[in-house]
Amino acid sequence: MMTRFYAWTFNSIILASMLFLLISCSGMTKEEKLNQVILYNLRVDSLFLAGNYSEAIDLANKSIDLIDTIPETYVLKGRSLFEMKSYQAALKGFSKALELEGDSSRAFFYRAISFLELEDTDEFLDDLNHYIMIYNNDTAALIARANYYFKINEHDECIKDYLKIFSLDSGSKFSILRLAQSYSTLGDNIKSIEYYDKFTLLFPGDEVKEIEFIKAKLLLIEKNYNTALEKLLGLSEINYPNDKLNIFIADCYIGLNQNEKSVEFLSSYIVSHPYDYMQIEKRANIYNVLGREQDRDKDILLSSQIKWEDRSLFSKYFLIVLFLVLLFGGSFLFNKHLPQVYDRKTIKKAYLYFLIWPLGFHQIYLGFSILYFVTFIAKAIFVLLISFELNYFILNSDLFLKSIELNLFPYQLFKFLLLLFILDFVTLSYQVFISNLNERKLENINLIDSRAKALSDSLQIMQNSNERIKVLISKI
Amino acid sequence: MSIWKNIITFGNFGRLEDDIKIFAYRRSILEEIVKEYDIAMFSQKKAFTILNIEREKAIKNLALFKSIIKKIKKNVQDNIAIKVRDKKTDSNNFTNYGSIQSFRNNLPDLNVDEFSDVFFIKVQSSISALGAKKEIDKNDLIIHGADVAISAMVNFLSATISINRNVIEKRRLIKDKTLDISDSVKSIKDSFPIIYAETNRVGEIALLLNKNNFIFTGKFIELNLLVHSKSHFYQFIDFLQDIRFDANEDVKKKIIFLGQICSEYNKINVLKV
Repeated sequence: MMTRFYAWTFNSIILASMLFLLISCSGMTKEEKLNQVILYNLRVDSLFLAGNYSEAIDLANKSIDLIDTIPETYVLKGRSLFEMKSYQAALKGFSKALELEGDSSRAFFYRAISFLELEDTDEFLDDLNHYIMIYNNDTAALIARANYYFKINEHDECIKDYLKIFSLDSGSKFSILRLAQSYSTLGDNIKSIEYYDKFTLLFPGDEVKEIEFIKAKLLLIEKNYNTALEKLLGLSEINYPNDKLNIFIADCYIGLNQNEKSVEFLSSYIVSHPYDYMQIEKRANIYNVLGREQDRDKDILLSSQIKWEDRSLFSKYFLIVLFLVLLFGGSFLFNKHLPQVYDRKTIKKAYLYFLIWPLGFHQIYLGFSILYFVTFIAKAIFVLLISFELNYFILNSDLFLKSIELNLFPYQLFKFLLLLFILDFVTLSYQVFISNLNERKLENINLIDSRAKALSDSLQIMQNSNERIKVLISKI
Repeated sequence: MSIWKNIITFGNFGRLEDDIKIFAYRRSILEEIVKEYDIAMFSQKKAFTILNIEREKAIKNLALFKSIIKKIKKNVQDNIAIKVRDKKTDSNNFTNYGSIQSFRNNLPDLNVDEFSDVFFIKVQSSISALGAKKEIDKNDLIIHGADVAISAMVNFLSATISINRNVIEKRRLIKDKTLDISDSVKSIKDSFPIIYAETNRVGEIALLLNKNNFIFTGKFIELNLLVHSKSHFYQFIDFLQDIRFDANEDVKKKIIFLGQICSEYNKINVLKV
């Protein structure tokens, strides 16, 4: 029985070995495999170019299964993964290619841009610098590095790279434009204009108007007002759609001391942008130079009003409300009214308080707390309503009255308060007399009597408690 | 059952029960004392409030007296003799020995039910276990049953020892709490006579002031009608012109009487609270 089992096992092993050899012998030779891989890679490349990335990856994997030591396959796979935004997987593929190919591998570039996508900028720069050191004429790599420098505002480095690109390819639209932008950012407007000129010369098209506008702005900064104005007026004639065109034309006229014309263009801008307080202030300054004081004042008021409306509710009213609260609280601290005799002398004192603090100090002195409270509320509402004027008064005291003209001043409340104020002043002596009468008011006699009874009751309760406590203590 | 407990605890359980009874009795008395104390403190507060009101009224009466004098005399100087000392703080500093809140919060408490029942359950369970095991053992395994019986006995003895210890501890605790009650009672016994005397004194002064205020108000209303008999308008004209009132004998008598009341205010004030 056992011997039969062993014989069966032995036969099975021999059969399996033979099958294995048979399958092995049926595989490709090394050369055939290589050819197959080349074919695969060509196919991967074409799939990649066609944008069929997932198929390209599958085929690249098949190629790797056949021979896993060809760096090109890993690069192709990595690029497809990169396009599918699997940056981490792409990075692994490029690293594998670098491992196989060594320092001169082009995979450094691809790995660098993968690092950039993963926001590892140090590794990005390391790989890219290494790559550019070996392939120093590769414009794609130079553009990648220059763009990075442009993005992080290192315009000196950016210019170096773009100049290199420009020397390699003088027709590079992108590099000329970036050079112009970088020089402008660095403040070298002349050079910037130079490159913008090159751009318009090489690529005359729709962008020319925009480039002309930028050039005009740069010329304005360089105080070359005439040329700038010429360009801007040219753009204005062809109705170039830019909101700020009129501002720049006005600036040019200001530079050329043609203030009337600058006002004209600023005004047309302000009509379409009525809340741009900076331009309104600018126009106010021009009016000042022209001696048109009335217009100047109006503009200053208008800009102040816009600024006031822009402010948050808290910053508008915080100080005023705090002031009112302190005033109200502080007044009531003085309101610890002790009985006193008001005679003719106190009339003088009441007037003195009235003159020192007409917001109601005399009312507190005379013990009219309710009257003080009511009038204080009315006054507080008035102060809050004219808070813009108050704010304006603090900033520009000379134009306070004009600000009243411009705004909806609460005249009715003001007149009412003025009337109260005058009435208060006129009737102050009578108020003192009334206060004296109030002081003479006595409480009801019955009330005094009831207090006495309540007191007697309390004392009686106290006595009872005393006796009871004594008894209770004795029980312990 | 209590015989059993006494045997197990060598009589300590009986003593514990006595302690609990004493504690409960004293606690009930303290509770009543605290209630009375609470009422007394409320009365004390009321007496002080009335005193303050009477003082304020007295101050106002003095000002009114001054105003009447001013109506007759041109230069009236502040006379020290007719001033109520305006220090309300004097009367506010009343004694408050051991606040009522603390007495109420520190009332010693004891869960008597827990003492009498819970810890005896252990003993009962040990005894019942002993009985139950015996019955089973008779029918089945005699040797094994003897083992269980011995272990039950050992458990019973150890439970007895721990119960004894517990009873002693609980007795100590109850004694401490009973002592707390005695301390609280002593504190009330010491402080209450002072509070009582103080309140009586406050009451006396307040009643005197009240009496004076009562008389003053009555007399002042009469005098006021005489002095300010004119219409408001004429009074106002007089006020502006600073015209004095020509006092007749009757008015003078009344003023003198009011002055006497005002000097009474001063006398009262000398008697410090």
